[in-house]
Amino acid sequence: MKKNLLTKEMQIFIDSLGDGVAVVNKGGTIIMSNHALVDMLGYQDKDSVEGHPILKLLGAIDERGQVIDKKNAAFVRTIRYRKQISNEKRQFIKQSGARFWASITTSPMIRDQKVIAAVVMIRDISEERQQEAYYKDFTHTASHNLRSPLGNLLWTTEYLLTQKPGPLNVKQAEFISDIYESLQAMNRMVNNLLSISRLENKKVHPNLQKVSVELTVHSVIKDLANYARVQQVEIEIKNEDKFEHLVKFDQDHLHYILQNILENAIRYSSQNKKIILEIRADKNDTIFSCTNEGIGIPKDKKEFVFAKFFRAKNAEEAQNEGTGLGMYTSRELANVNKAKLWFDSEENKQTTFYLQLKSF
Amino acid sequence: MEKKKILVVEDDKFSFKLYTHLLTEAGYEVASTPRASEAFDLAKQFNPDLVIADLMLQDGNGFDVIKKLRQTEQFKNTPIITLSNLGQDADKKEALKVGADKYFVKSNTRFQEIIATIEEMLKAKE
Repeated sequence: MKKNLLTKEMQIFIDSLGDGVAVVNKGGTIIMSNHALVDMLGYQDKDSVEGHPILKLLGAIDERGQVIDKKNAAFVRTIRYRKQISNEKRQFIKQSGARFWASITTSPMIRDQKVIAAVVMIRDISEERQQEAYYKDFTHTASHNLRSPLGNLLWTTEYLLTQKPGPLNVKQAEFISDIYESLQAMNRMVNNLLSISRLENKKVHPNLQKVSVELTVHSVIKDLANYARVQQVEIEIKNEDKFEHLVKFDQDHLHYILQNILENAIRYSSQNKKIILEIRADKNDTIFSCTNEGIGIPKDKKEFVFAKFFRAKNAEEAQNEGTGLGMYTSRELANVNKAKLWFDSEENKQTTFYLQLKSF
Repeated sequence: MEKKKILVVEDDKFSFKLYTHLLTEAGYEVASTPRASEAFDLAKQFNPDLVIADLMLQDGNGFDVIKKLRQTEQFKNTPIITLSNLGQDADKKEALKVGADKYFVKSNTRFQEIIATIEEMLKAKE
């Protein structure tokens, strides 16, 4: 079978690849391999690999720590559905018993319109994983350690502004207020980084409970009332008399997402315009929406709105506040609560953000 | 009228100075220690009406300090506030479980809110 599958030139080509390659027949036996795979798994020669069942040889475990059975193996799905499976993450086992992280891509090998085998490509990603873990840990530790001096500075400036230690002249009061605002912005950034770090480490487990959307909306409006006043923007709740929507959500997460949506709506609204909040529901879902009239989101930047640290140029020009982390965090929080967050926007006209939640 | 007494367990120098100053100015008598190992003996001697404790201390952790205080009859009903930089739900749950009454992340709380909470807790205790 091996000879029939590949020409000598193809075998040379495959052996020259840096990633591990195996050709697996329908029964799951490795019928061909390359040197990189043999090295990756810690064997001496191809004979130790070829002729063996791939599942047994690799001992695959998925990202949740579950052993991959035949039904869920990537090569089986590739053969059954005649499609490529790309970049699934696995932990494989070496001959020594040590485990390593790998990315696996499988493609069907088709001859005379029949799938005769699957080509399995394996890339060792242990180093990437380590770097990722280091980065996540670093973000968490760094953000955490920033909180202590930040807390002290916030409290000290807040205290100075009370003028209890002594009167401040107008300029001094103005500068200390500026310092206070900058510290608050920095604190928001640190809180966002910590939330992201926890989300990325899968440490966020939503406390799903019966939550009232309207109560949360009113609490968020109360928190942002002063900001809306300063920005000269009015907030209107449409069809409020019909409000009584209970959803299955983590209370703190819902507050965070709604606050972030509304805060952005206020920040990027034109002055003397209204922000319209609306809640609609059917028996399965509740949809919250928030529409503002203002700078909008440029067409070519829409795909980046939920990316980390993204801020559109027109947003930066309009306001120097904003961390570029709020929308990313909100989308992640919506995901862990099994909700959907999306938007429609027209530049220089209006933007509507939607949050679709499971009704309780 | 006799001043109410507050014990502060905090090892960060700046915070230590700041709490002492703000609480003294708010009219409280303050005793403080940066060491977990000294906190219990100081509490016995000072007999505070309320305790403010950090959770991460140089020579130990605030959870153990709170636990030990709660296991002692003298402090069974003494209000305990945790002021920490740890913001995870698990830390908050653990602090409340071992006996803290309130949990605040310092950078997310205004000090005037803490002063108001202290007043409220002391009033409720009377």
